[in-house]
Parts: sequence; structure tokens; C-alpha cells
Amino acid sequence: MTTGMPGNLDPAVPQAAGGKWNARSRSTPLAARGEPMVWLTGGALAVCAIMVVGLLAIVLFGGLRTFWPRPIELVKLVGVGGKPGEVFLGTVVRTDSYTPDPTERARIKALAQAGALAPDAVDSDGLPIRRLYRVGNKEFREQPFKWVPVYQIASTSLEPSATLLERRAWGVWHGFPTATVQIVEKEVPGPASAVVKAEVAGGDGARVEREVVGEGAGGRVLVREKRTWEGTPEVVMQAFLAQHPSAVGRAAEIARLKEVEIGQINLGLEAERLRVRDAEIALARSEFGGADGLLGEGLAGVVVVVASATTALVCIGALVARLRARKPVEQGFLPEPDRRGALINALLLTVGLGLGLLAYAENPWAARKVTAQDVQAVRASAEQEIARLNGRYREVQREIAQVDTLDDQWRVVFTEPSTGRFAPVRQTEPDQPMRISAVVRAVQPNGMSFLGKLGVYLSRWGEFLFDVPREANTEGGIYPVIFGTVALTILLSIVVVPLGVIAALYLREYAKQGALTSLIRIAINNLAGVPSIVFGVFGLGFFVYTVGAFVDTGSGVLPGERVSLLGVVDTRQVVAWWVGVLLMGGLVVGAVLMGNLATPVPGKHATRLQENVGKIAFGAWCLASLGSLALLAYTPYFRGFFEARAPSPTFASKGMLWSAATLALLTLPVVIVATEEAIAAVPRTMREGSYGCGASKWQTMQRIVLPRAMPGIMTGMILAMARGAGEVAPLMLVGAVKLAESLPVDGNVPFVHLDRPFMHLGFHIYDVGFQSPDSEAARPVVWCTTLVLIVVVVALNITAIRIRSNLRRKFLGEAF
Amino acid sequence: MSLESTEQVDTFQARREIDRLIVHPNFVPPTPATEHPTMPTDQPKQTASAEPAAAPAGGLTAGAAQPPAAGLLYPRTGPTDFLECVRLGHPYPPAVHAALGREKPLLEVQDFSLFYGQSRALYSINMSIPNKKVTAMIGPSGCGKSTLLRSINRLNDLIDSVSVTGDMLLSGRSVYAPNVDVIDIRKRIGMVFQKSNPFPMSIFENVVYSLRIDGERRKGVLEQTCEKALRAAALWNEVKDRLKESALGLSGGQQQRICIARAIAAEPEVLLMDEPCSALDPIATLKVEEFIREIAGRITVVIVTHNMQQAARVSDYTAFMYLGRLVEFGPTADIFQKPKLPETEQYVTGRFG
Ligand SMILES: Nc1ncnc2c1ncn2[C@@H]1O[C@H](COP(=O)(O)OP(=O)(O)OP(=O)(O)O)[C@@H](O)[C@H]1O
Ligand SMILES: [Mg+2]
Repeated sequence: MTTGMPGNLDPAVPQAAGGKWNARSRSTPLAARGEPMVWLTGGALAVCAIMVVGLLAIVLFGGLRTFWPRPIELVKLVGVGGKPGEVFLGTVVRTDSYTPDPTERARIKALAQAGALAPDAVDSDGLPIRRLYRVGNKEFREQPFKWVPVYQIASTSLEPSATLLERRAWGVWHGFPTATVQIVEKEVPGPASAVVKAEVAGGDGARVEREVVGEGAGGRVLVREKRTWEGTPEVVMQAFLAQHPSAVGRAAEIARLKEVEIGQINLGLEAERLRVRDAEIALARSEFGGADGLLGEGLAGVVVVVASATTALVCIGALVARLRARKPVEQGFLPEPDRRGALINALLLTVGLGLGLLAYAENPWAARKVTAQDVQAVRASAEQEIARLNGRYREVQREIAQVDTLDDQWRVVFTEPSTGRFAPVRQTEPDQPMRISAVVRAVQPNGMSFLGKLGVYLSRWGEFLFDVPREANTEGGIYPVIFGTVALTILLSIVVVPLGVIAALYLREYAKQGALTSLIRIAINNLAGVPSIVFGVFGLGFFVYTVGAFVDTGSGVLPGERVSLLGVVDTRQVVAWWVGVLLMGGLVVGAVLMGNLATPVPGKHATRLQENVGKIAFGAWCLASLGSLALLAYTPYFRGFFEARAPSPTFASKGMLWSAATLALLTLPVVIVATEEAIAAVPRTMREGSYGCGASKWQTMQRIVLPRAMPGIMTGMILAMARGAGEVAPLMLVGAVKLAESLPVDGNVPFVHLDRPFMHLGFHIYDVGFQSPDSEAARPVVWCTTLVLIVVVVALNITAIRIRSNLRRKFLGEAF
Repeated sequence: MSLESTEQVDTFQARREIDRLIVHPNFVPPTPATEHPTMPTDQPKQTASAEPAAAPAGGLTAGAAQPPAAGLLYPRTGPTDFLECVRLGHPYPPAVHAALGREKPLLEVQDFSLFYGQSRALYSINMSIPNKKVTAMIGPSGCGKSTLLRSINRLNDLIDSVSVTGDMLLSGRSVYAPNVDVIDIRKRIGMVFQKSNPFPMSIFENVVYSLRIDGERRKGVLEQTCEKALRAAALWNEVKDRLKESALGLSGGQQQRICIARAIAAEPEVLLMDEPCSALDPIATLKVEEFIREIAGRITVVIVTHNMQQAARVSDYTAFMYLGRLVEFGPTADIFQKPKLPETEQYVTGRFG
């Protein structure tokens, strides 16, 4: 008898030979108290929180401040050896101190003794301070950035008219507005000697220079007239700003003509070329026999029979089921046949049979009989079309030339201080000022109000988010990059979620739990640990080079010797292939039958024999799927969907589809594991309730299990999307490029171009930050792109999380 | 039926004693049901209270593990004799009242046994549940009432480890034959579970679930059915304004009534109710009982309950189960007033164990 028996606590019960009940004195050792663990766990959390917040803060700080306009300093350097010091305009990018070499140190010491050292020239340790200036003006300088020790600066000043020009090419230019210019070529009455070379003030206050450049018709001469309006910086700036919008409009028009119009023409030309090529290929095929005979007729026959039989069976089954409808229950409503459903089924049946017949009549597998005359006709019509397109091309070129000539007239002069050099129209013509349309944005930050700066800031962000990149991605916007990332992420989740959910459903609901399912689970979990670059290599090797090549140019199985099978003459490969098809069909039927045999009678356990048959059936399934893949790979006469484009690849190169597929594979474990857990968490009582109502397994899954597991599935999807959106390494191999010519979605048929390579934020950061020629200039773009990447991922996540919490509220509410 | 206990019963003598007891189904102990003088205070009490919770075969192992003197474990005249036999796993015919023979059976349970893996939960149950009558099943916790109930609509198929022997006939057709359409059987049987299990959908959708899975789409029919079922489950007034809200937001008792409404919405032939009122307040309980009485003439109801008054109030017949076996089965009035076995009387009067 133990002392723990309740009877012993009762004083009324006589005590057994166990002795008296003594209250035990108890103590709590330090280790059992909570405080140290509170400190430890709290500390760990604090460290994590600081790291996360720090990361976000740094990215936010770096990203958000980049586009804020910074003052432009007019810097005068101290002259050396009697020569006057350099004078330049620049914005301070960074400031730090450095360790000088001995001669420099001596100079600084001397300056300090002479009392000529500015107080901000050295730091508290006596080390000299230097500043990094962004000076731009790349046409005339080797380095657009310049380190300047502060002790070498004679003076700095903030001129209100100092202007920063963001240009379409050649980066930024710092200068003062000095003049606007119009250059026109026109014919004037001759002779050449009569042309007035220069006028101090033309009709509108312009200084005019004329230069004879050639002979005109009827004794007239061709003169290039250059009219220059000079004035104070304010006046010039105003004149410039007044002309700028129309100049930008012209530039946009030129860009549109080049991209849209010429792009359309090029597409048309390519389409014509492909049409001719297709006809030639068809001719070549019909000469060697083509996919005729057994393959052509047979495949069409099989498709028709299978499609018609399935539709017919399904529809008739549904029809009967609907007409039989519910059986009467005593006090229940009378069964009323579902007339509408029956009608729909009848309609479906008709459509299915009609389609089958159509397929048979058209027989897409039989070789088209193409003659040389047909090809000739195609060629002739194509030539006609090509001639039309070429005419249109010349027309567009003329239009472009027109706008360009007009655009070329209007120039502006922004001069550097002291050297007097101005931004040239191109590097090879340093004496001609640049076009007004070359300027994207002119900013004079020194005299600018806060609101003005804010306007510039927002307009820069607008350009960054909605424009295309220029200058090797270091300037301009990242619109195609954002677009590519979002499109990839969406496509990725479209691929991975159904795949993962279906796999998880089978694994959890249908598969018999055993060694094999555990093995598969282990494999899936290990897949999550494989480095992502490995997936990239796989994607490249399998998707791009194997599947892509198959889609492009087909199986490469060519016709061989002709043999006769049951009276049908065909080539050996085709006969062998059909034998393979029959074998696979037999294998599938066998597997189904064996699977049925192996299913135990309800309420009984499977016998040893049934278990073994089940294993054989599983093996047969594996073999059948492998065999089917092999049959597909060796389909005779299949020459791909893009044979005409060969040898240039369509799907056999980097592209959106393969990237999504690769990332889907990469994120599959996340989705499968999350879904499996969510499904397993659906209470058994809920399923039993559904089964108890007479629901089938699929109905239960569809109506109870999946909705209830949906929040968990969403979690998996969120994780997959976040991982996919942020992945870089595999994308470098299978899809992301430095500069994509066109977006993966556009207005040209078929609108979604999954074969195109795309730009991706993660890859863009890597590329701009580490692969660009001018890493200092790329730095701001890297910060901002990182910020955008984070925002995109967070936005995707927040959307998914909100959907999930909505679902949670709907499906997981619990009463107490 | 194989009898594992044969090797484990200790003495030949004890076997003989038990055999003598079990061959007489209407055995009446010679002395009235009073405290047995020779019964030691601790040991048998402990066994009696601990055993029912253990697996059905546990009684045997326990008996073998601590073999007491034969006289103590198998007292010849004590009121617990019969249950001791059951505990030892001996075959014996249950006391089935003659009145049952006059009823037309809807469900015939034939020599039905059920195993959870190796452990046995039901021992050769033979009973026929009368058509369009209310049958109550009573018995201590863990005696297999739920298991038997769930076997009727083959919900136990869902548990991998379960295997069964014997058969059940529903309207003369086998439930466990290999080619039976389980879904069809389940559609003819409604079930209310011991634990409420509303689905993660709106109240309306919960109630009309059975109709939905049959493909019913006509709004009028669905709404009419929903109202009828909710009224029968005494829930209509509480939820009629929030039919579109999630059923998971209801209280525990309301959830249970949703499940009752769901089970009766499809108007099944048989209604299985596993302690339907355990989470309900007295008023709701009363309404559910009224409903059961109301439909009793029209459909067959099998109800499991731990509430003796409820069993007495609603049922026409009552079955008493113990450790996976049917002990006594007869008209409710007889079971509660003049049972054939003193054990049954003890159980229904609450003086059991
Ligand atoms: N899924 C299962 N696996 C294994 N054993 C089970 C399972 N379900 C029930 N059992 C066992 O079967 C026996 C009968 O259980 P059952 O649920 O039928 O009892 P019950 O009579 O309904 O009890 P209660 O009145 O407490 O609901 C119990 O001993 C129980 O432990
Ligand atoms: Mg129970």
C-alpha cells in the first residue's frame, strides 16, 4: 500500500502501517527559477530584432535618401607651383579621413603652422579629411568621381545657377546655363560671298553666325545658320525650360517610332520569313513521306476514339446519374430529375462528339501534301508582303529623320566653370552644344525650396519605378525589372502551388502510409536543403537544353527502312514506336487491374498476396510513366513547334517558363510540407462528419479538408513566393539577363511570351552593383533596387497574409 | 469465435464454475444483491473500477498477472459474477427479451466482432435493431457503444487498423459485403457524433451539406430543408438571422445542435446518435428528445446515452453493453423495471461496480 493512496489522506480512515503523513519541506533551486532563462531568451530575441531592424533601417536609409537633390558646390582648389588651382562643380558623395604619406603630412603641418589650415580639414586625430565629389562631365574627364582632400580646397560656394543635368547618355553634367542655340540649314540667295557671316543681334536678340556648307539649286547657297541667345543664367534657364517639354516630346516620338513602328515591321518580316520556311519544310517532308501512314492515321484515330469515348462515357454516366437523381426518402421531397444538368450534359456530349469528328476529318497528324507550286505561291505572296513592309520601313525612317532634323535644331549650352567647356552634342564634336532633348531633367538644387526639392525627389522616384534603364542600368528606371520579378513570382506560384498541393494531397490522403511514403517525405525535405545553384544547373541542363530543345526541334527521330505490319507499310521506327505504345497501354491496364486486386475488402487487412500484387502494381506504374516519357521523347516525325526558326532557339534558351519551372522545383518542398501539415491538422472528427453524411472521399477533400487546410496552404505559398522572388543564383543560369529587349507580356500575339528572358531585381542588384563599369555611379541604384525588392517581397507577402488571415477567420474559428 | 482466455484461466475448478454460470442465461443468484461478506475491501473494488477503462483483453491479462485465490475472484454467489465472466472473455449468450422477437428488424447484427489492431473492441455481438423504433444503448464508458454505432455506417473503415468479422444486415442486405456501395449506405444513415463537429462553412451550408453533396442546387428546397432541420434541432430561433455566418462561431451546445440538424436534414432511414445531448442544456435536451419521439414512428433511431432518464424517456428498447459485449437487450420498460440480470438493474439504478 502506497502513501499516495487517497485513503491515507482521510483522517477518518485508519492508517495502515505506512507511518504518519508528514508535510515535506520544499525548496526551489536557482536553476528552477525562471529569471535566468527570461534574460537569456529575451537577450536572444533582442539580438535578432536588432539585426532585422538594422537591416531594414540601412536599406531604407540608403534607398530613400538617394534621390534627394544635394547641393552643387563650386570648388576652387589651391594652386600648386604658381599654377592656378582647378575649379569644378560637384556634389559631395562621401567624406572620410585617411592616412597621408610623409610629404603630404609635412605640407599639412606647414599649413597648420601658417594658420592656413581650415578647421574642417583635419579630424580630431589630426588626420586629413577628404571628400568624394561627383563631378560628372564624362566627355572631358576620365573619372566622373573625384577624391579631394579638404586642405587642398581654397574655397567652396553654392552658386544658385549651378545646374545638374541628367542626360539620356553620358551620365550627368554639371554646369552653368549660358545660352540656347538654334542651328538651321537653309538655302539663301547666292552668291556665297554675299552671305553675311555674322550678325551681332538678329531680329530676336540672337547672335547669328552663318557658314556656307554647299551649293543650292539655281545659284542659291546652302547655309548653316547658328543663332545663339545668350544672357544671364536665369534667363537662359528659363528659355531652356520653356523649350524642354517639346524637346522631350520629340525624343519620345522618335523612341516610339523606333520601338513600336519598326518593331512591328520587324515582326512582320520575321513572320513572312517563317511562313516561307514552314512551307519549305512541309515540302521537304512530303517528299520523304512525312508523318503519314501508321503514325498519321493511327494517332488521329486513337485521339478521336479516346476523346469521344471519354466524353461519351462521362456524359452518359452523368446523364443517367442525374435522371436517377435522389432516391425517395419517406417524408422527403420527391426526386425531381435535374433537367438543366441533363441538358448541359447532352450539350457537352454533342460538342465532344463533334470535336472528335472534326479532329478526324482534319487529322492534324497526317502530312500536308505540299507541292513545289504551293511553296512558290507562298514565296510570292511573302515577297509581296515583304516589299510592302520595306516600303513602310522607309516611310517610318523618313518620319524619324524628319523629327530628328527638327530636334537637332534646338541646342543648349551648359558651361563648366573656368574651362568654358560645354556639354557637347557628341564626344567627337566637342564644339557643338548638345540637344535640348538629351536632357532628362535639369536641377538647380542650390536655390531650391523644400517643395521644389520634394518635387524633384518624387519625379526621380517616378522615373525610377516606371522607366526603362539607361547607361548600362546605372541610370533611368527599373520598370522592366520590377515587371519581370512580379511576373516570375506569379508564374512560379501558378506552377508550384497546384503541383505541391496535389502531391501533398496524394501523399497524405491516398497513399498508404509506409516505408515508401516516408522515403518520399525524406527526399522532399532533403530537396529543400539542396543549394539553389544546383537547381539552376538542373534547370539549364534539363529544362533548357533537353525539354526546350525538344519543344523547339522535336525528337530528331528520322524515318528509316520501310516494313510492313499487318498490311500497313511504314518505317521501322514508327512500327517500333507503336509497339511501344501498345506495351505501355497494356502496362497501364495491368497496373490498374492489379491495383484493384490489391485493394483489401473493407474491414479486412490486406493479405500477403495482395501486398505483393500492390507492390508489382506500383512498379508497373513507375515503369509505365517512364516508358511514356521515353515514347514521347522518341515520337517519330515530331520536329518540334519551332522548326522554322531553327537554328536560333525559342524555348531552348534562357526564358521565363524555365525559370518559373526551376524555381517551382526549388520551392516545391516548402509547399508540400506546409500543405501536408495543414491537411494533417484537419480534425478527424470533421472528416468523419462528412463521410457520415454520405460524402465521397473527393467530396470530403474538396469541401472540408481543402478549405480547412487553405490557410496552411497559403502559408506555404507565401514562403515559396518570398523565396522565389528573392532567388538569384538559379536565375542567372536559366532566365535573368542584364538587359531584356522586351517585357514578357506585351501587345503582340500571343501576348504572354514565356520563352523570353527577363530582368529580375535580385540579379539586377548583383549586376549593377558588381558587374557595372562604374560601381560608384551604380551605388544609388543598388540601394534603391534593394529597397524596391524588399518592398515587392513584403507587398506580395502582405497580400498573401491578409488573404490567409481572412481564410483563418472563416475556417478556423473555434467555440469554447 | 476463438477464445484466447482458455490458456489463461488459472484452474480447472474455476472454469467449471464459470461454465456453470454462463450456460444459464437467465441465471439468478441465490442470494439477493447485497454486499458480499467475504469480499475483501480493496482488491476487487480496485479491479472493478479500473478494468472497464482498459482494453477489452486487459481483463484477462490483469487476471493472469495477479492470480488471486479462485474463491475470491469467482465468488459463486456474488452479484458481480456475470460481469466477472465477461471480464474474462468467456462466450455467453446475452439476455435478450422475447419482446424483441415480435419486432420487425431493420438492422441485424450477426456475430459481429471488431478489432483495433490486435485489441478487440467488440465481441461477437448479435442483436437485431427493430424497425422504426428508438433503441438506446447504455453501458459504462469504453464499452464499445460508439464503436458499434460507427460500425453500422462503416465509419470505422477510415481507421486503418480496424478489422471486423461477422456481418450486419441493413434491411436484409449485407453492410460488409465486398461489393457494397458504402456511400449509398451512409446516405441512408444519419449520424450525430459524440463530439460536435460542425464543418468550416456557414450555418446554412452545414445543415444542407448532405443535399449539397447529392448535387441539390434548388434554392427553395435547400432553404426549406434547412429551416425544417433547424427547427427540429431546436435551433431555428437562435440562428435564423445569422445563417450566413460561420458555424464555428457558435457555442458548443449550438454546434452540437447544428450537427443534429445536419444529420436529420437528408431525412435518413436510420439516425445514429452518439450522446447527442451531452452538451445541451435541459430545455434543448427536452426539445431534441421531443423530436426523437416525434420521428420515432417514421425512422429508426439508435441513441447512445449515459443519462438513464433520457434512455427511459425516449427509447422503446434498451441495450446494455459491457466491455465490448451485449449483456441485456429488451423493451425499455422491462430493462429499467424488471431486468433479467441483476447487473443490469445495478447499472440502471446507479449502484454499479
Ligand atoms: N481508434 C481507436 N484505436 C484503438 N482503440 C480504440 C479506438 N477507438 C476506441 N478504441 C477502444 O475501443 C474501446 C471502445 O471504445 P468506444 O469509443 O466504443 O467506447 P464508448 O462505449 O463509446 O465509451 P464512451 O461512453 O466513453 O463514449 C475502448 O476501449 C477504446 O479504448
Ligand atoms: Mg462513445
